[in-house]
Amino acid sequence: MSGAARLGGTHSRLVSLDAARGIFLTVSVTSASVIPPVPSWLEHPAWFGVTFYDLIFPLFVTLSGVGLAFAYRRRTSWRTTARRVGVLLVVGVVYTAVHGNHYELGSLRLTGVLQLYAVLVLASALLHTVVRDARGWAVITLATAVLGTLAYVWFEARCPGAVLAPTCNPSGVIDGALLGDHMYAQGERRHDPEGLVAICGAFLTASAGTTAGHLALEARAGSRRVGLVRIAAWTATCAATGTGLAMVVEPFKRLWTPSFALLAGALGLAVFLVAFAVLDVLLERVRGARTRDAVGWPLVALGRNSLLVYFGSHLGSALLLRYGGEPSWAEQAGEAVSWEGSAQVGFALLSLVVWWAVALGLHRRGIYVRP
Amino acid sequence: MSWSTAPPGRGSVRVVLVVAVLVLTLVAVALSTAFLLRPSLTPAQWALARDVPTLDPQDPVADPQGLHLLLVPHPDDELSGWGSLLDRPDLRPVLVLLTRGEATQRCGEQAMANHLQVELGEVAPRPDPTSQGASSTACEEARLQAFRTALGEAARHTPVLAVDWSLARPATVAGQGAEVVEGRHATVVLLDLGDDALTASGVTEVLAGMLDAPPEGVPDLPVGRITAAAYYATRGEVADRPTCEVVVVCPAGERAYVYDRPDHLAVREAARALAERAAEGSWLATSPFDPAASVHRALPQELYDLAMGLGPGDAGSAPRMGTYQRVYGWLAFPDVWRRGDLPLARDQVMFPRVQSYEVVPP
Repeated sequence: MSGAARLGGTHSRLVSLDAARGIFLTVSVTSASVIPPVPSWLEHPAWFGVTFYDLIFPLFVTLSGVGLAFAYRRRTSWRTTARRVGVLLVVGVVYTAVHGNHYELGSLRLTGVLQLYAVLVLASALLHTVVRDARGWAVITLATAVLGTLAYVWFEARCPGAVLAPTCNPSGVIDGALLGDHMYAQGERRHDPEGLVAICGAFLTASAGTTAGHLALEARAGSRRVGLVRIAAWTATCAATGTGLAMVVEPFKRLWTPSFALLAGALGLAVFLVAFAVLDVLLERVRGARTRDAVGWPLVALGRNSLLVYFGSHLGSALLLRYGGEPSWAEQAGEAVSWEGSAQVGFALLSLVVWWAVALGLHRRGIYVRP
Repeated sequence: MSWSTAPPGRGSVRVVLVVAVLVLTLVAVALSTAFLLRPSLTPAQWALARDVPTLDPQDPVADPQGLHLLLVPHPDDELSGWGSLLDRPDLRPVLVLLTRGEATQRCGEQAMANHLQVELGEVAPRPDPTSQGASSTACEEARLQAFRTALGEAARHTPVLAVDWSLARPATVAGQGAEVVEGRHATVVLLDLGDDALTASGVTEVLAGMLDAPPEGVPDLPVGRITAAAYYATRGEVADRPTCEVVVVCPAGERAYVYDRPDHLAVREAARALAERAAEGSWLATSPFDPAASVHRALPQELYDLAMGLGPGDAGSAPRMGTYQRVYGWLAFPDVWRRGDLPLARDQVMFPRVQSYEVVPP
């Protein structure tokens, strides 16, 4: 754990990133806390297709990308980065084992959402040693999108019927060779949604966020109005490019294809854009920084502990649904606080209230869980 | 900030512009996210959607460019021609039912008792054909009544086929007694050439006669296309993958559902013989594994569900939802009309969503 990061210097701090994370977390916590039977839009498709639930983690990745721009805009502390990556990797393996309830060392899954995030942190730190402005990151984003799409086109053409399938996909080849039984579902699903191939897609999503982060930083030093327009233009660019690439390679989350990466990233950027416009431009200009901070405080409190709340809520819900017998602890809690007769809604709201309360308490004490 | 130092007029304009940019961006993201969200599909379903055109029923045209002859051997085969029907909305359909389907053993008392499941939504045929059994007048009328009902329901999703059965009038077609029902946008001709008795030459002769001297109700228009709505696949025609041009319709390791009833072959060969009479030739319903199959058309999922829909559960318990399952349920084999994207032997699907045709040029 560490104290609050100061973005200060001579410029006033931006609260929009933390507020955007807070907005995202309200959706994430509730959608992760739904008692079965879960509606289809809160499940991942088996292969092709994109549901609402598929957008949750990419939103986290996009906003993390914005945060990485803030974190690495100046000199990179390699010691801090190494510790952060190391902790994420180790905790990630444990988290994945507990969440998946699979502890056999011979087939322990080495990939997972925290490990994916760790690689993104490392890649961002490395690239920030040479690129520290929005223009450079925009180029990285668009170049990655085009090259990634070309790679998929090349691979897809070699599959039967030119169709990416569990039996023919780059993750099956690359992650299968790298990880063997240590990949997702012990290799039985023949792809890994958090493997190296998906990490490349997630990097694209994060990179879109990092570009927006640098635009926001540049706006902090200059005109926020101009910054707002630039972030809007970048958001629209990602949406348009993603739509165009979707005509070439199907967008879907299982492989985190480039088109999916940009389209999902555009949604994350839109959340950040709204927060930036309302809090850091409109409210600060009209009412001043104190009012802005007061209005944004509950969301900022949630957003500043996003790592804890995001992964904590997912793990907590999974464990409460798994244990307690029949009905599970989650179901018992849902029944106790059922909302208009619905234990599903009751438990989802209870989870949100609990995690928000935890975040508020930690924020009041200046405690933030970070690797 | 820069706008606080600008003149009030220009500042207001800038604020409006910024708000406009913000709103436009959010609209763009909303649209792109709506575009991104898409239903869950298996790789095979996705490939079919990519490689096979899906056709939607169009509103009937006011001035059709020609006739589309749909040849239906028995009252329940019409769905095999639907892909071709939807493919030419500019033509006026002339649906020619060639037999009354009276040879079905389902008109027998025991067969009916074994197969009809009214409690699941199957409609009992009227008049009751079991009193007279197969090859009887009651059996003919029961099958015709099911056909009328099915076509009436089909007109809800394919409005071009709407006809008023009360306007049916007797006619003579190439010396054969017939009934003709003239709808606003389509005509139905009911012939009675004998179930299990069709021959290619006999069907060709009658249809050629009809084209030479169209009965009242069949407009004097050039024939644009002839479709044999008579699925036909033999063992010799299946699993010849190397000849399959659209790989996704011939999955590896699969075989076509075999249906080699002579009546269907007769209709198919008649359509082949008459191809020269149609500007575009003839389309013969077949399996995608047929080396001659060259055109594949998918029915929209909603339409297919309206025709072939089943509720949850297995064949023995699923509520019959679609027209075929309810109205033709008493004729279904092996138990219900099996649903599927392709006519695969494994799934016993005779009426698939994706329909394949051999195209015979004129």
